[in-house]
Amino acid sequence: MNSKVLSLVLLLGTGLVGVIYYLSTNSLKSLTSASPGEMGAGYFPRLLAVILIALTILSIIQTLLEKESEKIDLGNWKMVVATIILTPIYIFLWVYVGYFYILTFIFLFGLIYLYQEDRKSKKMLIINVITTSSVLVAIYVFFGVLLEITF
Amino acid sequence: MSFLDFDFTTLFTLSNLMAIFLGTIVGLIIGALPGLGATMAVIFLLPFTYTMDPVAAVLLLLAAFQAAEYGGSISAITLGIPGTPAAVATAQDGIPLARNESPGKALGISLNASVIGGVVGALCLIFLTEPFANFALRLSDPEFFLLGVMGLIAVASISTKGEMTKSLISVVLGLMVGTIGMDMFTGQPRFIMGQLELMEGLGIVALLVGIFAIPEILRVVKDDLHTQFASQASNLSTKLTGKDMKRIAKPSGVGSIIGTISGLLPGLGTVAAAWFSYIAAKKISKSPETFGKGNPEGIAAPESANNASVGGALIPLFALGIPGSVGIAVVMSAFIVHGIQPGPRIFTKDPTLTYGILYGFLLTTVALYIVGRLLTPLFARILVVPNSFLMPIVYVVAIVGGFSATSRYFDIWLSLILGLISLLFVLSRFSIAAFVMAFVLSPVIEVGLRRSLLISGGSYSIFLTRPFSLVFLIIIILMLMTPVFRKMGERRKRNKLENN
Amino acid sequence: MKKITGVLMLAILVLIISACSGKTGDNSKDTGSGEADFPEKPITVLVPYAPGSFPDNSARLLTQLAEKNLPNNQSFKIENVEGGGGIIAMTQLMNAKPDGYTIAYGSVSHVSVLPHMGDATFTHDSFQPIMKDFAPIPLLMVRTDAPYNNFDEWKEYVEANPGKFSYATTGPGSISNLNMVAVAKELNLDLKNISYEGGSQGITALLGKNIDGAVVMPSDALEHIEAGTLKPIFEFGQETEYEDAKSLGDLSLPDGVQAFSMLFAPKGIPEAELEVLHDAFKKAHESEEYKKYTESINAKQFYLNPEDAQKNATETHDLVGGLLKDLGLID
Repeated sequence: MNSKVLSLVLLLGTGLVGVIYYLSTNSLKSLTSASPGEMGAGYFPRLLAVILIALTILSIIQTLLEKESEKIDLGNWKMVVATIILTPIYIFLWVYVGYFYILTFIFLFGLIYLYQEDRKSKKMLIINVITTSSVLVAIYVFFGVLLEITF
Repeated sequence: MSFLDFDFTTLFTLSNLMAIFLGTIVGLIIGALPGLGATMAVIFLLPFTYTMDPVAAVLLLLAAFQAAEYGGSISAITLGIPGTPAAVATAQDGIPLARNESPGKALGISLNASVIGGVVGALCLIFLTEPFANFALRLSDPEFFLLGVMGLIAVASISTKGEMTKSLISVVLGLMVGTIGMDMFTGQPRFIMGQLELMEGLGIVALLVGIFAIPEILRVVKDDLHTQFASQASNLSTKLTGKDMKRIAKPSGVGSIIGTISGLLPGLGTVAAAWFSYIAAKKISKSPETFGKGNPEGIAAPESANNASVGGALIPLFALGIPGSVGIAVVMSAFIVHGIQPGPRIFTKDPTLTYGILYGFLLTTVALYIVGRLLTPLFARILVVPNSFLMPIVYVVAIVGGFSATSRYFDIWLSLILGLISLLFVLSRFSIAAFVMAFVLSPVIEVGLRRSLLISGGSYSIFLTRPFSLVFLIIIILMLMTPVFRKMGERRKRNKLENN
Repeated sequence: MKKITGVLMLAILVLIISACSGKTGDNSKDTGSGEADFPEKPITVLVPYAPGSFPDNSARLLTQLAEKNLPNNQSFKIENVEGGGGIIAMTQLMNAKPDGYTIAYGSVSHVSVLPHMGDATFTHDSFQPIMKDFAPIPLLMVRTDAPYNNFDEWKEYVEANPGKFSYATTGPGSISNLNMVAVAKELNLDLKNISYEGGSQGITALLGKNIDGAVVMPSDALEHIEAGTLKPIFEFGQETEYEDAKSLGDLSLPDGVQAFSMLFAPKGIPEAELEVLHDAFKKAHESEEYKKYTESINAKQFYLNPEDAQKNATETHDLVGGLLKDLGLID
């Protein structure tokens, strides 16, 4: 993926946001008892929407005129994608199944394991278990006990 | 009784000192957690104060408040994740200095500047309560509106590097997100997309975790997973040389004054304080071109400002009984639970207690220095941990910390969605700093404008007839003209050279 | 850490009990053997406000005191559920099992204002009130250097300058706003409402001479009354102790919208459980310590039993409905 394409995709997104945001101001009522000088709930948002759409168009033109387009360095994109997929699963299970501490242990352990270069190393596994356990104890002591948060 | 007759033995009791140190430690830790700031620190500690004696109870909260303002810079400098909106300004130079030179030095500057700011704020609170409170009363909606606009111009002018249009889009998006929630003037919900959780607006903690912590963690996973931020422990020392101290003295002084004044004003508070002083420090610096590349002055100014703003924010509370921010309102509730009513008569009604709290507040800065010196190296040390371990830990702690602020699952989902969207925006070089600043200032600007016009009956002359309003308007015009002047100056210089 | 604080709190509690209630003795826990099985576990109290906010403080103190009157040594557990102006917490209460283990510390807004606004699925009789607690009586404040010295002069001034007098409230549909609107309508006055985030912001604007008046709760006003910078000229209750002020009663106007707090249980809670809860809270409500607290925040105690509390909620609901229609907030 290159930066030009990404910019254009995002700008189409902001343009769309501007239009939807503008349209949703139509449902706002003004009060019958409003005093003179009251702008109403919709004025400032409509102003913002118009500015956003104008800036988006300007930026799209600027992006299209750019000659060079650099490639976006994807780096360890596999790890990023893995993290992005695992996180909602973790949160979903936490919300709907519970067992926060066990789940968090598995999630944290899993992420650290995944991020290692050498996943077979026994030493790494041991360090991982120790690290994950101590982080969870710290979470339990600080958030669970001291701040009395129920997860 | 005046402030000189105070019997200091009533302050130096074991319970007071313990409250101060405990508050400082907890405040520092909560402030350092991504997303959680001073407000959350005092909210978390409030239930503990119900059973304490009044002075110790209030000092516990104030110490935590003070320490959390500094703590916010720790995650900004070490991890590149600003813990509070104010620390976004600190990150501008904090991150480059930490990455390129020494994380210890960056943290040391932040700590010393924070303590200077805290002391100045406390001294203003003790000695200048009345003039400052009178000044605060003279500023109202027209001034807040103009200061809000000034803040936007300030942040837009800083955060652009050849991407002006994108920065402006970030500003407008931030203002838009800031309008989500109930409209105060008509009582109607706006843009809540059917989510009742959004009725009071987007939670700042969920927002910060989403747009700073998650994208930054994913970026490190993408680019620097198999390295670590710091390899040796030697550059983790937070000790500063005399030369460094001398260098940060001036920006810290400027930051402290701007911070104290901004603290007086509700809504603007620490965020605007940090950015205004960053800009001011750049203007008076001998080397403004190194700002944004790791200039110590760029750390000292916002850090001293956000701590000074704590003392500033307490001035209207003591003088008028008016809390200027959510965090200060929580502190005020600790007063009330203990039967103390903050307000104009607090100095005459309960002098021992009042001066105990004021001098105790000065002591919190001492505690911040001591605790900061002891704990900061430990925080700096986490940079030695390889990223493949550090990032998952920070990720989980950010999610858990974000949840703890409201105990709402909605906020975790919100953070996650915001995180993924902002990752794309970061990759495309939109300005996240501008977005956050605009988000925080959005209600200040909209409410300020609408209320000004409501009071004036729809006439814009209200911005011209008020003295401070007029001054701010002129400053705004000058700020907008600066680039034009600079270009004209450059052209004249070039013409001269060509003529010679 | 938790243990230490727990022990400390227990020690303090024991001290308070032994110091304050030496004569009565601690026999409340032995009575009521009929409902000995309720409660068997801690009772969750939903508080639809932020921790550290004013109603949150009241809820914490009241439950702390009521705990001593609960059978089986059980306790209350506060849970702050913010969002939607209380809609989220109250919906949670409505859907909770009516077994007495989930209750809420709500307010007038939850049963009389929100049901009109369209976002809430509950209305004024969707819950079982346990007890009406207290209500602060709002005051209309003006500066002492204003051109009018008392209510009558103020009324003359407003009649001579229609639409000029601007006053702060916490927004249209808020209790402070509804009260002022109702009075202005009765007296046929033309006033200008300016919305502020909270009572203290309105006070700031009034002190800074940006507006002419503010309708606030007494806790926001008292300091300034005593400092002599502001004074009340109208009290939205049946009587007033302030010299230059008039009250609803003085002008023989009907009752306004009271900013009361009320404890709610889910509808369908068994009589026995309701009684245990009601008795525990009533005793706490009547305790010296709670009386002192309500006095310190300048509120008045308005105890009502479950039945009368429901009646009160329904009446307020209808009153607010009419006012909101006049404002144009609802159709």
